[in-house]
Amino acid sequence: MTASEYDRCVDLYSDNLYRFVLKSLRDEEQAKDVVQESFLRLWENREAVISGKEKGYLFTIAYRLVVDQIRMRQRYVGGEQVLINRGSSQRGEFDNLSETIERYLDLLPPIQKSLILLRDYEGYSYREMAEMTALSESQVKVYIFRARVTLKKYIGDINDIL
Amino acid sequence: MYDWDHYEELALDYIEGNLSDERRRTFESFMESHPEVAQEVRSLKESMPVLSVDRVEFPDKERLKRGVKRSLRWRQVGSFVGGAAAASVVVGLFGLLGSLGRIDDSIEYGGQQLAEQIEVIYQETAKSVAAETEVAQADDVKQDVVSDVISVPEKVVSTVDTYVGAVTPLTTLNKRIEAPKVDKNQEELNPVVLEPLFTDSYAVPDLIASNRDITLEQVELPEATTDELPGYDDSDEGLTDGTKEAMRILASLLAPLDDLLPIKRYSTENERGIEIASFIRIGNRVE
Repeated sequence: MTASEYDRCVDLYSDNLYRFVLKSLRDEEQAKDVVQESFLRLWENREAVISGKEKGYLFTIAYRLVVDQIRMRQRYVGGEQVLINRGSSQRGEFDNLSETIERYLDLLPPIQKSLILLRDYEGYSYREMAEMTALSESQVKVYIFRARVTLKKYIGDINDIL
Repeated sequence: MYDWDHYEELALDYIEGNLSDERRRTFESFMESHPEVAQEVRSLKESMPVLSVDRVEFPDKERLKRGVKRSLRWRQVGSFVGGAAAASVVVGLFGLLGSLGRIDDSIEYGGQQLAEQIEVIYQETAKSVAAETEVAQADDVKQDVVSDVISVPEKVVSTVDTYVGAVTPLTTLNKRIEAPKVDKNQEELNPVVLEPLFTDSYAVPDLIASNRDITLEQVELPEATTDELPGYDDSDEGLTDGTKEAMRILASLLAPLDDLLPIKRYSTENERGIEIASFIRIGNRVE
């Protein structure tokens, strides 16, 4: 990969990668760091990365960095409570269903959340997601199903309240 | 027998319609005996919570990039002709500095004499290099090339200085070159402003266009065997003789500086050649 081909990857994928990481971590600075680190690794491994697989490579690296970040948070702050608290600072009113869904994303376990983001935003297949996350395809489906059920339950509850 | 601990996998495939008839029937009978699963599946079949598109922009794209900044416009020149023309001017610069080293510094030069001599050497170098790189047809890129070439990264300038050795004319030259500012954090090269040395000198493309009759001795290019040249491959049949020659000249000039200005081969979908310091390319379009 030449410098110009690499730069094209920045143009094509940095927004989507940032969206994935930002929504996973809910922290702009950390998200920027992860995106930068992912692109740095792409550059360092530019000879090894197969042409056409750059996007998958970037998301794989970013996913691992996100998982590391979340583990570190859990270690230092104690459990997933942090993510849940941040995410559920509700405003009480919701503009539309998708915004509602996004708020409840934070209630999901981190892996389920990342998988939903990869699936819905990036349109990755279950097989591709399995490769990226080092899970089996069947595990990926299990997580996605559980995530959808959980989200549906929360949204259903909200509708009942309204 | 299916592992019903992970019934969710089948449930998802069922909802998305990805089960074979046989498996679908198996799963339906599983749901009959598990009403809570049937309830989950029914609920998701009604409506599936899916994230809708949400655009987010990464704020620091330019900082991630590795190529030379767009303002340098190397890439806009792009084509072989443009690349070769640009390279020939760079070579011209090297040739000029190399030639300056040959000026007998025991002679006292007045400013005017020096200017004349340098102009002559410059023209001579430019002409011989241009002739070798078949650049004469490059009418349409002349202006681009002229403006591009005044941007020389710090490495090139400082390397040339060290390599050629500091002779009096070089001091004069260096005064005209604004020191480039390199921000180590950003790893970006800012363009160097290289002002015209002498009012009577000619930019290479203008010189080519002018058809001035210059009959001076050939400038000697440093010798190097092609085997040692980084990135050079004479056997590549996709390249024209002009490209090969340009590659040979440039590679032989830059071979001693390989550590500082890495030269490597590159190939893209429709172009092949050599690449110097990741931003100067000499190559051919390949059909």
